Amino acid sequence: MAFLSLENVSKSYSNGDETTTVLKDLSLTMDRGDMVMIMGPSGSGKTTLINAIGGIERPDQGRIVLDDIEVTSLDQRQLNEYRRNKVGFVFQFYNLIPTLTALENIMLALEGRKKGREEMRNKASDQLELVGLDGKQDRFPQELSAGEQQRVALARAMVKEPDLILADEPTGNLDESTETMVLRIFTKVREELGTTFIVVSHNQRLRDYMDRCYELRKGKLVSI
Amino acid sequence: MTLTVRMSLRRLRSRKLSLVLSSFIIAWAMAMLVAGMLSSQVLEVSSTAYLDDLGMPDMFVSLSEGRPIEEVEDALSSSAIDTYDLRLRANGRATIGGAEVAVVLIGTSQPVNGEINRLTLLEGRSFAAAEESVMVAGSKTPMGSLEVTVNGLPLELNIVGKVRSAEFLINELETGSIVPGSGGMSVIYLPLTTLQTVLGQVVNDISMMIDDVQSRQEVEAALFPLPVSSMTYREDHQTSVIIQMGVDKFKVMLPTISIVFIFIGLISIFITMYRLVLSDSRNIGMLMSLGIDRWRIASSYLAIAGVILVLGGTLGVLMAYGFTAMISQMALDMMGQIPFVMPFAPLPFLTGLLVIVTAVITAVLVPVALVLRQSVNDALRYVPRTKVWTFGRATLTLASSLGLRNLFREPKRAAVVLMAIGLSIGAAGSWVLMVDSTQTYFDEQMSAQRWDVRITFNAPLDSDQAINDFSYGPANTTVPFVTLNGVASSDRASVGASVLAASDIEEVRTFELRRGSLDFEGAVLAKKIAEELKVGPGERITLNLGGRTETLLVTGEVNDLQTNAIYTSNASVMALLGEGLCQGVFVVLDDPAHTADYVSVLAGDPMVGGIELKEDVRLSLSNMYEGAISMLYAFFALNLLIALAVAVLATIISTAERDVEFTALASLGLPRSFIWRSLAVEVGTQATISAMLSIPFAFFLAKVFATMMEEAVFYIPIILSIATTVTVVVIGWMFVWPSIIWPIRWFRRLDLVRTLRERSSR
Repeated sequence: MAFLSLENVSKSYSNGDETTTVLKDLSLTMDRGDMVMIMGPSGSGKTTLINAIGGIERPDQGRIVLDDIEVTSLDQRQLNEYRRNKVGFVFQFYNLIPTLTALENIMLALEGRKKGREEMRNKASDQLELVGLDGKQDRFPQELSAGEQQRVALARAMVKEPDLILADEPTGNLDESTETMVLRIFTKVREELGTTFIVVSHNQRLRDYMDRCYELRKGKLVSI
Repeated sequence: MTLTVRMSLRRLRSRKLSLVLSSFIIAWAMAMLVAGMLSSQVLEVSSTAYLDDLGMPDMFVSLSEGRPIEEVEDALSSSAIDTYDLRLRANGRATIGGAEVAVVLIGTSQPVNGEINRLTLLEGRSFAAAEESVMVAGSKTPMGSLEVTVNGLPLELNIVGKVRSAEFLINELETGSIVPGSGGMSVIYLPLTTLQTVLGQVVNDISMMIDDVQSRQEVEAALFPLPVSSMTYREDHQTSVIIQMGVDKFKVMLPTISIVFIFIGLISIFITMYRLVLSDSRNIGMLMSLGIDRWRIASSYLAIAGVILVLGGTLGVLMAYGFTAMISQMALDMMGQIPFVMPFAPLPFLTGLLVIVTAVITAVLVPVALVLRQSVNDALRYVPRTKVWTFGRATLTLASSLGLRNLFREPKRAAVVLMAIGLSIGAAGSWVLMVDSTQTYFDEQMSAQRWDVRITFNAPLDSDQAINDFSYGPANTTVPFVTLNGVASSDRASVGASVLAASDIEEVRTFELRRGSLDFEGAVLAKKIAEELKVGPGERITLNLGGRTETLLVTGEVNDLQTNAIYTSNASVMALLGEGLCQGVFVVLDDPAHTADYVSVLAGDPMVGGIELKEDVRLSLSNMYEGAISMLYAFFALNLLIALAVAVLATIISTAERDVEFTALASLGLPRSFIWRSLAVEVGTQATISAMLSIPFAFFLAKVFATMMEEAVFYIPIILSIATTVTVVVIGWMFVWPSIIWPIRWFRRLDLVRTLRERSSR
């Protein structure tokens, strides 16, 4: 059975009298450890798709099942728990908490997991080291470069060892060398932990690191 | 409407609660200011109209002994006297419900229809037959038959009605107590001829309507042949004095506190506007890049000031009217159910509006001007800055760290907000401090009274004989005294004065000396009357009582609740009352527990007109202030609403700019308890710090109020007790806490998807 399956997922937005369908009977299956890229023009529904998989947004129709959990039937509390345990998000603009240090931002993802403070700290330090930021643990987001901030965001997503990482334009604000570093981290995490990745991007260079690549056209995924 | 104005007004859509809270704070400030000014006018107008309607005399004169009507009428032949009422007044005693009570009997010939001293019938009917009588509202006597002992003789009366009179309007305070008052006593009006059957064909009480103030000296001179013991003008009468105290209190207290609230409102609007304008920086930069001049951009924000003023002004007018009606009605009820008269008085409202217009326009334009000073480039590139204070990193949980750092992420704003909330709680707390200090001061004043029983005589008695007659049983010290109400004059002013003359006055009470010495061979003056007469130690004053005068050297000035008190020795007032005479005695007992034994012997004494126990005075004082204290506590709670409004406003500003952070936390799947703990630390710390800060503010403001009250009423030393401190801190803290509801509610409603899409790129 597939690790992730989307069956006939549809989502529309209405804006006054006008209704826009962004996902239309969309289906997708992925195995554990797959790394998939989704491309498409602005407004094609890429972000809606990963928000739906991540439990941030509910589709109008269809089923989403991740590791035998039917995401589309979870209530708010269960969705919260699902996001806490199963999914890690990486955003284009990092969304780090400006009043927490790099280390604390990463520790934040472990809150509510009944871990001791020291254990949380050690785990977060390991992740910082993994993304090449050891020594910058006490820096606040505004004291880090864009690439460093994205790597902290990545560490925050990975520290809880989620089954699935959803990355929305993760390299959109990064220079080429930082972009390469981020992608290498993705690959390393997938190899070591078997993490599944769905990456939304316009960046063609990312294709080299992916198992498959889709384009969202008229609400459906088309393999490219 | 120009496009820039429309742009500014549309920004208010997402700030409705801030707008309402800012308007509420400013409305509150305006209402306090207007209510202070208007309440004093209402009290003045209502009480004057009522006293005029009741035929309140211009002058009250008491004779130390009765005189035939013809003799008195001869003395009152002056053309300056419009009309007069001759009455016979006596102190009696009656047994009511098994207890001995003092009764004041006033024999009058024109109870309800005359032009002077008119009685208003409240219940029953006026007296018609010889044995019939009416009592003043507040009297302890029941309706029906009553036997009163006057001069040792029994007098059978039938009380057929209850009345209100101007001279006993405030029938709550004990006569001759440390606060000028008239009552706690049973006052009975009866036909003059009935009382004369017991006391002889004489009168001893004269009330007069006089042409004008200039005629007073002529009237005083005309009284010379009569044995005057008390001469009081209308403005010095206890009824007028207490009403004036109320008027002055409202005139001073409310406008003073309103200044604090206007300041708080100014800060709140400033913070809100500063945040709004800062977040508009890019828009402002864009407008500047389009060549729109700065003044036009600034003036578009004045539309926001306009909205706040329309909302705040309308609410302020309504609240001001409501406060005025509430305060005045309560005060008028306390003063004796005086009918409420609302004068046409636009000035307080215009003043209030002018003040809030100035405050709001300043609070709106200053932050706009600060942002408009930027260059176009700087405005376009504006990015909000966050300052992080990293305290307690090793020991605090992440939720606590987040809460604390969020509170102080803009240190200057945090400091201003904490000060504003602290000031609001402090302003409210100052009322509690005033209450506590007043109670403490009254207790101290009561403990300054060393006497246990105060006996007043029906007629002046030789001092030696009085000492001899009343120094029996448990009496340790007996001090004869004279009380005289007359006019005190200096070179610069004349005012009504209440003189207490006693042979050894320090045996019966202690004094808090302000300056000079406690030399009672001269006159020791209460601070207020010393100020009104503009005299100090070493200067001379003249006491005038019915044409008789006595000049005294001022030797000292004391703090005293009775603001028109003059203390001196018996010898100093001999010329006014007669050599060696006294009107009563203070008795200090071996043990206050023997009071009942001592008093029981006095019951049948024909000379004894009134018996006052120290404990009764204390109780009547505390009863009187209970009502006032409840009102002050109600104001404390109401004013705390402003603290809550400021706290909510600050929390809204602080959390609304953190929507992306809340979204990030939600996307991590953090339990809600984490967010709530973080908010609890933030709001709890804000509440704790501001509640602590409120104490110095409360103390300072109470000092200011006390200083202003000192000018208007009497001196109250402000004492900061531990109990008051704890009360203000804890209740203030509790009032700030509900501000947490808003961010919790806001977080629950936060649209994660929309925020992630629209706001996370900023």
